Amino acid sequence: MIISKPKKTKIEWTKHLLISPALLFFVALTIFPLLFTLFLSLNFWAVSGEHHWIGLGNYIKLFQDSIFLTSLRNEFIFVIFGVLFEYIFGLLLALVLNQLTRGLRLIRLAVILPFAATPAVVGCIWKMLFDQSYGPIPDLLHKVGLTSPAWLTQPLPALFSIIIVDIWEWTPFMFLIIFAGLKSLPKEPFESAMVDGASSWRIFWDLTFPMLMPTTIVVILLRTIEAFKIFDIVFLTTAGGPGIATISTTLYAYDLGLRTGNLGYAAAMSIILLIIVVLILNVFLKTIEWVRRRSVLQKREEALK
Amino acid sequence: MATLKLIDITKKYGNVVAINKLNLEVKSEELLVIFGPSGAGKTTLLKIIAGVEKPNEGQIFFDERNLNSLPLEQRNIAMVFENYALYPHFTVFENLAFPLRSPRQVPRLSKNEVKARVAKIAEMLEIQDCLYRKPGQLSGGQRQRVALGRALVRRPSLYLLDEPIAHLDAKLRHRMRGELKKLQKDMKVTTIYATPDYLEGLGMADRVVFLYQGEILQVGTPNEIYNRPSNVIVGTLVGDPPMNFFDCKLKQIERTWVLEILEGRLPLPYELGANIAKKIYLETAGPDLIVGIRPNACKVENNSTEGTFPGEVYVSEPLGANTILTLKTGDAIWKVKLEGLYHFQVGQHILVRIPTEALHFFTKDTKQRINLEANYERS
Amino acid sequence: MKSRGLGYFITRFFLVVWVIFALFPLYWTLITAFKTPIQIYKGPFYFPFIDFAPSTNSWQFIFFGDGRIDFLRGLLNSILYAFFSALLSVLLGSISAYGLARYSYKYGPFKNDNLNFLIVSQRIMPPIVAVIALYLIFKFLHLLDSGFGMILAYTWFNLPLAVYLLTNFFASIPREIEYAAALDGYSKFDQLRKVILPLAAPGLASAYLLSFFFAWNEFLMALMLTFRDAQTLPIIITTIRTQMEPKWWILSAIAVIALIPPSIVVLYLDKYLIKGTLFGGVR
Repeated sequence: MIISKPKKTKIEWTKHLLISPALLFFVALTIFPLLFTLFLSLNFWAVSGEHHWIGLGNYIKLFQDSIFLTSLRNEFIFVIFGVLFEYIFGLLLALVLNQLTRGLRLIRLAVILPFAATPAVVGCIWKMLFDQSYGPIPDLLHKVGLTSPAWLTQPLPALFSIIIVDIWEWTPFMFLIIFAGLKSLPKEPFESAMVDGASSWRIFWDLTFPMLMPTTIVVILLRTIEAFKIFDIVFLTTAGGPGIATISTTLYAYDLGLRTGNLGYAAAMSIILLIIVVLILNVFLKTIEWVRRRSVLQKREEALK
Repeated sequence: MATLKLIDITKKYGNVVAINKLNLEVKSEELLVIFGPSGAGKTTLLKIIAGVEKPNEGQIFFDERNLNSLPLEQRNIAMVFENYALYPHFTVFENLAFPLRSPRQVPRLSKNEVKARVAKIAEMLEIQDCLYRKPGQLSGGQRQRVALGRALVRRPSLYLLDEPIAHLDAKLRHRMRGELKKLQKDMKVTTIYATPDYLEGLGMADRVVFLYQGEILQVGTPNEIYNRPSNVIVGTLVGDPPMNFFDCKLKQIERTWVLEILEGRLPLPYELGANIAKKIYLETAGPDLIVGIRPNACKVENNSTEGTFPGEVYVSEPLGANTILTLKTGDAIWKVKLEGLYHFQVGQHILVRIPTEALHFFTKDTKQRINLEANYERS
Repeated sequence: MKSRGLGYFITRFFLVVWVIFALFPLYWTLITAFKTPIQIYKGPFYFPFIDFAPSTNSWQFIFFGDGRIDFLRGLLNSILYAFFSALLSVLLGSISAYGLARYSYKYGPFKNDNLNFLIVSQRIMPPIVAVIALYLIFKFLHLLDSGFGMILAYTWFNLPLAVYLLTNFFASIPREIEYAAALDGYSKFDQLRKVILPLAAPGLASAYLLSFFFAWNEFLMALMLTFRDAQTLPIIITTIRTQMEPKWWILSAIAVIALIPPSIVVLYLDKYLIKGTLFGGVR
């Protein structure tokens, strides 16, 4: 039996060629820098180029560094509150807009627009808005008779400010994905529920929300990963301040790395951030798997009863 | 002689064997139908011939030329895909004209010639009104016709048609069957036509290949496939309602060969019985065999004579020109097709004659046809 | 006619509040771009022509005045980097995406889906991790503060996105269409040119616009890898901001300019975004 081996080799060759640029970029600019940063983190490395090996020295210093720990605290505050409110608002917006018939396009554009804005520019804008002397927000609060907190100059209000800006910037993102998810849901269950006379509240909790679960998971996952990278907004609105109240890890790493030139230390910080993000990602995915498996088991139990 | 030869073709997808050591020779200018249920491997086979899939083993020769290493665009084959594969961004006209404008089209056609050919095919397929629409705006039936037209507009050495009229309405399908057969004869192009519809297949074919789970069970003229199925499976799938099969025993009682069937006995002509006995005892050393009879070969009788069997009417389906009865005899459920409209009650007991000339015999273990001498075969 | 319950008004109210919330900062920026320094310091004014008389002094400053050197340089750089890096991302991304969509790969334990995930996983890594090393690498290669370096960096930054989007896109074009074109007598090259490319055009356009968008809005890398000549528009804004009494009016003018291209992209992509076809895989 003759087994024919025709232009198989030619096809092999072209297909490897096709994927090589992407892989090359990946290796050269992701894997290699990652490893290099890892290597850096185990050294004392100044911008000037002077360096020597210190093993885990940077890491040990990090965990005693109160600024670093504050930055981690801030990361979690930003991520948790940010993602939470962005999801809720995004969901509400999607639900409301789903019922609109007139003016949908225009309103949708208005809702999406903040997301288009460059984060750095957004930071500047809100710095303007929150300015105690000349900004409109304190002014409007006074006009209404409320006292305006020292938005950017007191630690707690500053954290709030950042979260507000983040919500402004990123809710449209959540909205877009949830809205797309909503639109792709089948109509029949809702129609039959309405025929059965279910209230909107019930429809939401028993139908809409469960059916949106996959979308919810995806959108929260995506946003969480992004949220840890927070930098632009903080840098431009509060510069991490007052003091270090709102500093984010990336900001601290940048500051340390470039401004004071301690690249090794900054590298260690980045690695820790990376590890945290990857861990959270893993925990998240495992939890989803676990929940899914449990609900399948539950359904099986109920079916057997 | 433009013949297509497939030698020991095997195709595997992972561990699943889609085509198993298939050998086939397609004669020049013939309309060969590949008939088989879905999943038999018809599409896979066509794809292998077209070059879309590469076989794991085996060779394909067309006109003594080994096709294995020949790229698709050089094979001069036209194919109608199961899912049409129309060009969504071209109008129907452009879809039909596309093959005629290819660099391999020799001799080059002028604009008017292209237009003329497209118009002719479009008219035959009744899609001339859609010529300037895009596939997305057409109905399923229209799209299928465009796919068919795209293949027919060319003059290749081989046509591969994968269920090309499956989604047309019955009337159009009926007409297309005739049109396609005529067209094929006029164009004198070797054609391989895949279909799971036995009426369509047997009606159009010069020869039929019965494909089942990647293997050829029978090759023959439509007549041979219908009247001499080589296998229980072939008998089941060709014919509607399918052939009835009964597990029986052949016994000799006082020098008469008798078939123990349907909780009764059917005496067989002596030579017939003897021949069968010889074959089955030789192969299986036992009296068991499978007997098949087509529903339309049975007749309802009033008197219980030799060769009639009782049955309780289970379902009665008057269908226009025919009536199909589903009968229950003991544990066996079988069907009888009568010409004309009759009304039977469910539960009614009737008698059915089973003519011995209409019986098909198969071995019990291999389910293969027991071939007998010519004078005992049905013509 | 169903009675308009409380829920209806609450939801409409919420919507109105949100739209105001969303648009007010942009509105404010726009009008501030038309204010003079005095109008800023005298206290916030909200309505042009009513509270205050708009002026074009900030525009003159950035386009024709002393600010034009930095501003125009930043603007030009942003445009160039976004334009070319998006082009490269889509170019390289599309050929890789085509490969991933049509062929099966196996590098050791990595198969197609793994490779796709690998390339996309770059997005999971906080950019700071790579940028620190990138800083040193660029320093070594003399790529700091260079247009070439920035275009390279942004191409890398957007490549995963382009590959992800385009792989989905190519995969959605049925293979049979290519086979049909092949059987019709067209070579691989012609198939790509006449059939695949026209069909992929919308996907390529979307991938391009998104890459442009992300490159335009990028900040951290521009901050770390440039210091003068190669600075982008967002960076220029920050240099103004760091002064003691930030010149809000100039800043607003630059901000308005900076907001235009991404807004146009978002407006164009709006129809795709809503269909969800852009992000794919979202049910």
